[in-house]
Formats: sequence, C-alpha cells, structure tokens
Amino acid sequence: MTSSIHCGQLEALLPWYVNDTATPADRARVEEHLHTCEDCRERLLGEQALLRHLRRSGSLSAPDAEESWLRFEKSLGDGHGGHEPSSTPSRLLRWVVVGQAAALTVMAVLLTQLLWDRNRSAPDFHTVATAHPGPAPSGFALRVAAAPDATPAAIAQIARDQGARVVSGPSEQGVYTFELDQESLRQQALARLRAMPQLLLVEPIGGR
Amino acid sequence: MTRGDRRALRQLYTTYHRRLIRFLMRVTRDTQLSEEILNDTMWVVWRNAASFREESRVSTWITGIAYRRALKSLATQRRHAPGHNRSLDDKNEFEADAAMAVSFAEQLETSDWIETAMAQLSPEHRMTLELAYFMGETCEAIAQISDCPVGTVKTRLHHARIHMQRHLARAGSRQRNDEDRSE
Repeated sequence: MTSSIHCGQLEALLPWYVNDTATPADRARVEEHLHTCEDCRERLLGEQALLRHLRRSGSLSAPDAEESWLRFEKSLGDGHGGHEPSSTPSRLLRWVVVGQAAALTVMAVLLTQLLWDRNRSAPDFHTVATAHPGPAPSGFALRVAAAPDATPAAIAQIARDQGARVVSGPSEQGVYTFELDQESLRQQALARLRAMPQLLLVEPIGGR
Repeated sequence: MTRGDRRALRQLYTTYHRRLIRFLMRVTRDTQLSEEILNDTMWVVWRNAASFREESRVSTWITGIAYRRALKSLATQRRHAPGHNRSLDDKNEFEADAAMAVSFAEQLETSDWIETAMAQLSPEHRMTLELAYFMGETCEAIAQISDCPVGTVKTRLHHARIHMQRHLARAGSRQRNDEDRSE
C-alpha cells in the first residue's frame, strides 16, 4: 500500500531514486506517481542523464593504488616488524604534536576568558539593574570558541546547521555568541557543536 | 588494524583508494592534492582506528574524514584565490561563487560542460552532489559524512541539481545550435 505524492515530493525523492538508495516504500511512491505524470517522467530522464554524466565524466586519470600506497607507507616511516609506523616521530607527527600543544594553549586562554566572562556577567541572581553580557539574546545563548583557522562564514554555517544564529563575534580571541530559538534543540545542538573539530569550546551562557 | 597491522592497513588503503581517489579528484580537480588528502585521511584512520566507536559504518567514518580534509583544502585554496569575498549568507555565497566561476568557465572554452558546471558550485554543494550521484550514498550517510542535518543535505542537493539541470539545458541548446549551423 503506497500513499500518493505530488510533484514537489517526487522531485525531492528523485536523487535517491536514481542513485538506488530510496527505501522500497519511497520507490513505490515514485513509480506510482511516474505512471500518471508525464512532467515527472521528463524530470526523471534529466536526473538519470545527470547521474550518468557524473559517473563517467572526469578528465584526470587516477594514480595507481599500489604506487600511492608506497608513497604513503614511506611517509609512515620504517616501522619495526610492520607494526608501529615509526619509532621516531615523523614530520607529520611532529606537526601534530606541535599543533596539539598550540591548541591546548589556546584552549587554556579561552577557557580562562570564558570562565572570567561567566563569573563577571552571569551572576546567580538577577536584579532589574543586572546588565546582560554583550548583546541581549532573547533565546538560549551559547559562547563558542572557534579554532584559529575557522572562518566567520564557516562558523555561521555551523550555527545555521544547528538551528542557531550568530548574534555576536568573533572577538579578538575568536569567541562567538550563538542563540537558539528553541530550548528543545539546546542539548542536541550542544552535543553536536562540541563534537566539531572547528570549535574548541562550547559553553551555555550563564551555565544554564 | 587496531593492533597496528600494516598488512591490514595496506588492504584498507587500496580498497579505499579506489573508492575515494576519484571522489577527491572530482572535487579538488588536482591529482596530487587528492592523493595528499587521501594519505592524510588514511593516516588519521591508522592513528585512530582504536577509537572508532561503530556509531556509523566504517566507510561513512572514513569518507567523513576525507570530506573534512577536502573541505579544508578547498577553503584554503579559495581564501587564497584573488578577489575572493566570502559572504555569511549561504545563498549569497552560492550565487557569488557561481557568478565568479561563470567568467572562469567562459575562459576555459571547454566542451566538457559538466566539469564547468561543477566548478561553479560551492565546495559544500559540489561534494553533496558527488556523494549522492557519484558515490551513491544515502541521504542519512551524507548527513553523517558532512556532519550536518539531513535537511541541509536536501537543501544543498536541491540547489546543486537546479544549477546542473539549468546548465545541462543551456549546453543542450548550444549543442543544437552548433549542429544546426554545421548542417
């Protein structure tokens, strides 16, 4: 038993229909609609043409997998018994160590600033005269410290993806304030934001 | 691999080389850069195999690492591109990128219209299209790989498809005109 769909719904299902990942129920809905709609049959032909083009086009020839592996293996260093990549740190590993040390330093500075801001601007009590930190968010606010190489556009995109918006930032230390309209999104957004490598710290403002 | 077995790493590498290198070459249009991104990805996999939590398929996890590395490389390239001016608004950014690339595409004078049309897409739109059509990933897997909500995947794919279909229509009409003239 399938429920009928309109052209707009079919349009959204077509990519997954042509790449063969639509669920059986969605496939049935698409096929039922295609039986009755000539315009959508035309759309399907367009999507199939696009898929064929994408799968066969590409002017560059791929490097050989074995040759690539040899270059990669060389970069791992001379391991002992074919296990550890290298007993001495490779150039890449050294950079990672230096990078991690730098990131820890930045995090320590940012954490200090965040805690300072929180203590200074979010007292446990509120009076009529209590001032809000920075702009006054109307929803649920988060303070977010971004990695040094994260662009404002990337941060704005991250905010939008989580149903939030940037209300201030970046500060000189790369700190932004995000605002969420719905409290129900907050825990989800917090967990997702904290998992993102571009964000070094994510803290609810006022510790809520 | 979690025990540091290089034979296992080699097998994984060659398997994912076939799967990922063409995807990376399509999005970066640079063979050497693609191999560097692939090697970075496999290095991260090698070092972090023990921390893989099986919250997603292995292929999704590995493709996600490659996606982020590729996005970072493309962002670096774009930051260094002359006249680049990023907008905070995704739609404006998409249109600005398209407009910037049109003049570039015209200069190319290439008959390979699909490469030209792909070059006009932002990295996020391009990679979403490639993941869906070239790699054949599900919507949910693309959301995991791209670390964004399913709704964002659908929106990006919608914009990318409209752009490609428009370009296809224009290319088709140009081809018909050329054929008419040659008769």
